[in-house]
Amino acid sequence: MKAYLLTCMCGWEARGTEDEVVGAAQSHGRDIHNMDVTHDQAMAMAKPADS
Amino acid sequence: MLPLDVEGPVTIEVFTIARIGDVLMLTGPCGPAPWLIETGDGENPLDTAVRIIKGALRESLLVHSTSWRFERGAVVLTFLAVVPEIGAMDAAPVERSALARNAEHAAPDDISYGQVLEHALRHLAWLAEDDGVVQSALDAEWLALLGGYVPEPFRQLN
Repeated sequence: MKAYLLTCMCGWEARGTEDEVVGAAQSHGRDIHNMDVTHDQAMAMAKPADS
Repeated sequence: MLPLDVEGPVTIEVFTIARIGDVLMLTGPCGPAPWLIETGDGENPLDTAVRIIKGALRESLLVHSTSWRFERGAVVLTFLAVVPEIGAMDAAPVERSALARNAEHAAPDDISYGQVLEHALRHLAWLAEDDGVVQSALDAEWLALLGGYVPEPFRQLN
């Protein structure tokens, strides 16, 4: 399964599958930045973890 | 602009500080950096700041607003959050900075986060001498540490 690395504007990072990084980003956005993060917004910040 | 960025007319900026012995540390859920929080329409920024800080940090001794400025099209409200322990968060020692100085009727053109933090710590140091709530929230070691931030003529840093 393809792995992604997602980096928040604050430097926080999540690594995992698409579902994992999107879920982690949504939790981080809500709990730390008071933001509602959509799936598309999260994936726009994600890069393949192997590149 | 990043596809995901803090937006809105009011941005909350939190500096989370702790101490290790007599060394002041900057920390927080985003590491040793300003922690940005969005405010939604109609939200009271203070209520939002306290709610998010309490949810994200295991414990805080004190949350206090220290300054505001206009930046990137938004009002930025700065808060200090004092925590008793760093825990698993990344941290770095706080470095001293010269304050950003206003003109007679204008804000500085450019303000670094180090200058905002310096101002916040001087603000807290003043409160530590003047405000009973702050005095009771912080122990003697904290109050001694903040003593180094009490404004004095010879303490202007250049």
